[in-house]
Amino acid sequence: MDTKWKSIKAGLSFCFLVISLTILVIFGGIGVIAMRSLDLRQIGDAFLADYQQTDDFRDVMEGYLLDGLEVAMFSSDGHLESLAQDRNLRYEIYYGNRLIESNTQEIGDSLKRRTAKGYNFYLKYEDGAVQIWKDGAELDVYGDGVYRGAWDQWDVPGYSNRSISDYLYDWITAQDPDEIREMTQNVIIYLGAVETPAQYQQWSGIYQVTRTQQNERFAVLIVSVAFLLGLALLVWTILWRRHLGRAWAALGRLTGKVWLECKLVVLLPILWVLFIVLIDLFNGYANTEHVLILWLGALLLALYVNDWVHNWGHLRARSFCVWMMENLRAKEVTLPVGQRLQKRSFVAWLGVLILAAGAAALDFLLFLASLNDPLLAVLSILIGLVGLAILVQQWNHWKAQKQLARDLGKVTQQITDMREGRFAVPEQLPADGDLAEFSEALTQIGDGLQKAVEERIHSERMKVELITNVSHDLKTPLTSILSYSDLLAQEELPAAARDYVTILQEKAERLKVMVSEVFEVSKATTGNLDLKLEELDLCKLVRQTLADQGESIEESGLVFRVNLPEEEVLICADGDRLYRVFQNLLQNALHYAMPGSRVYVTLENGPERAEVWVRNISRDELPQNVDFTERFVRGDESRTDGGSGLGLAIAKSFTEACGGQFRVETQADLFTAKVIFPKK
Amino acid sequence: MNECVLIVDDDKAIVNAIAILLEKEGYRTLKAYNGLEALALAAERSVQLIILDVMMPQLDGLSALMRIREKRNLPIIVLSAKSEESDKILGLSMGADDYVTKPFHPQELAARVRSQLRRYTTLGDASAETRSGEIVNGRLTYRPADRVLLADGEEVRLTATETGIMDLLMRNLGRIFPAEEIYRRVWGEEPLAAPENTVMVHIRHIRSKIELDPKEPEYLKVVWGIGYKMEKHQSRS
Repeated sequence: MDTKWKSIKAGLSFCFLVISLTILVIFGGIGVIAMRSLDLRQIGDAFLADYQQTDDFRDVMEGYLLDGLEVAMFSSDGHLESLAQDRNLRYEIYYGNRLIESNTQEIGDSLKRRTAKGYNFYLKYEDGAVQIWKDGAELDVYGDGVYRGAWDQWDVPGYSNRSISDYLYDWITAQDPDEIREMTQNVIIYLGAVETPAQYQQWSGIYQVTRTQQNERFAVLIVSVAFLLGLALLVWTILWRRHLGRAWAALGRLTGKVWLECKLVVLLPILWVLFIVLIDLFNGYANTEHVLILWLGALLLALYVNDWVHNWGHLRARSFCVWMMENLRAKEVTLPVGQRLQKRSFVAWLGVLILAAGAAALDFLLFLASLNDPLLAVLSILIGLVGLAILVQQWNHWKAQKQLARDLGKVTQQITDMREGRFAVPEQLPADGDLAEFSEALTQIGDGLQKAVEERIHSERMKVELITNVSHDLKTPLTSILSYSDLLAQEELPAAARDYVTILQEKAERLKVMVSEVFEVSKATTGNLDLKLEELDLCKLVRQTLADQGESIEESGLVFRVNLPEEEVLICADGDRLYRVFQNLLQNALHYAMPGSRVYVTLENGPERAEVWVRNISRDELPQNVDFTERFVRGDESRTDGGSGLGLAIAKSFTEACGGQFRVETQADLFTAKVIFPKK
Repeated sequence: MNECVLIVDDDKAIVNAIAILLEKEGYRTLKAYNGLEALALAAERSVQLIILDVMMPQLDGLSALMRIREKRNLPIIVLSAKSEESDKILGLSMGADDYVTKPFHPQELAARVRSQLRRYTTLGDASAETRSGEIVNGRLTYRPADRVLLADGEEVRLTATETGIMDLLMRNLGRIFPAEEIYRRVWGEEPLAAPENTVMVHIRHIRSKIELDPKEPEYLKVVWGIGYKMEKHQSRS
């Protein structure tokens, strides 16, 4: 559950990152673009309660004024007629006293008198100048009389630097200024805008202003919300950046599974498109599509970079070409060397053939094309001949390669045979082959090897015989000594003689023990023990040994603290030899421990190995810096009782021969013997 | 008693020592110092047991062993300084009844001679007939019907527990039993603590009663790390 939650967090954090960045980029990008063509004040306008204060409204009214003037000057039909139904605007256009156009039929002359119900904005044009009333008060239209084209200036005639002629010159096709003045001399236009616009017909300039306001307000709201959301998600992503890392890693793993070729093939068009977009941007041409493309491009590139970062080492591992080659090579490897080489040279030869075929076809075409030109014809024939010669040479080359490959196969087979101990005389390679002399050299090496191996076996056998013979030569007189001292002991003897005989028997016995121990230790160290390795329970073995030595343990007066686990501790060793090891350790403890002290026997059953420790306090002082497992090393050099000094050496040899480790550690008077075996 | 033992070894001192030892036990002895002499004496004189050394000049012990076996079926104890398991197996498979390594304890040799002669004289020259139901394993014979164990033909006095253990092991010659299983089967209940100690005490007692050398058991053996078993011995036929 916990890991699932973690994965969900990782995935979410990644999505958040992408979404937030997308939002920010898109809105940011679009915003930047929009900014260049947008005036912030336009956005401010959207939030004005009174639509009549917006720039749009001014534009609309300015437009209607112009339309009115056009109608008056040129009697252009229909332009303002489209507004006939639009109650948002009332207009009356006079030429002198004559009414040309109006939509004020039902309201009488309230427009002129600025008393129309619901209309709080009035504009009057007369004599090249404009008057504006809003909510009953007259507005100051001209300020200081200079038209600067400022945002909140009315673009109407009547400024000191913008007379009616200038105005109409700007807006209508060039006319003679005097003519214009003449044409507009008697024009009077009345306009009235409603306080609260409504939709009276399909298209209404004034209503459109409010609609635009609404739309812009909505757009701003949406953009703000999205922006805030984007920011919030970004913050959340930053807080969860650790999970993000996991998400990236997971993504890396996913993309790592795609073939390298696919990735490269997709990358090129992406880079091409981005390049084009960047050029456009460089030239100053930017729109929303560019932003989107750049953003998508950036996302894909991010995927690539992530893939690269996570799969740097093994990008090539997932590649179609590599897969193909590995498959081919895998099939190749199953063949022996000779055949492999033959196959490769054959493939090369095929390549040459294909090239030759292509060249031949081209040459033939050349020949056909050159039938009218004798020189070219000769040239093409020459080329053909040269090609043929090359082909023949390649053919011979291939044959030679094949032969070489076959010979190499034989030589490598010979090497493999030698490695596996088969020294059979191989097939003779043809004397003129490249490898003949090497095959011979190999045969000679093989002979030398064989001889060396035989000598080695012989010397090993000699060694074993030596050990057996020496021990035999020692055991024979020893047998006599034992037998006769035993017989002597059975005779009637004076007391002194009896003592002497006892000593003789003891020493003969000790000699017997030593001889057999020396024999054992030399066998163990020359590796001549014939071990019977089998699976056994170390715990059981220790218990059995303790039980076997039970009498000696009881008689010793020492307290045994035994700590063995309940469960099986399986190892692979020779049971009889291992028994000797532990018997030896126990005997040591019994002989050399301080009387009345405790002997600790523990088995620690670890996951990889099992350790048996036999620890006791030594009766005599233990010498420092002495390796007790060396042959003939004894605790107290002056003592001459019992031990031969070989016991621990034998124990160590046996343990190591079975594949274990044997260690002796001394700390002050504490003597620890450790037997360590790897678990089965 | 009164059997005649032929002692063969190229070391005169050893031959003498063994002769004195056996004569003290009440046996008659004959001496030979190489294989040829041994063959001659075995053919001419009445001999009930041969003690044969392996490494001898003129005809080594094993060859002599083979030649003697062609004609006679008497017990032969091989004496050798070679103590490897392989040598022992070789000697026994060549036809020896027992294998003693030098240097040996004189008492041990005497005990083995006694044992072999007892079996030979009790069971006769020809291959022993196994009466139905009897389990014969080397020197030991077990009658499951009345739960009696014989060693060298003589009945061995065992306690009830000891009989139980021998019953289990003799019925399953060569099979290895862990201490827990012996306890379960013989005592009839689950062992509480490590049963090795209890079982070992009884095994020690049995060994002292049936083995020629209790310190070097040949029949009731420990398989270290696994359990205990009754070693299967080939009966020579």
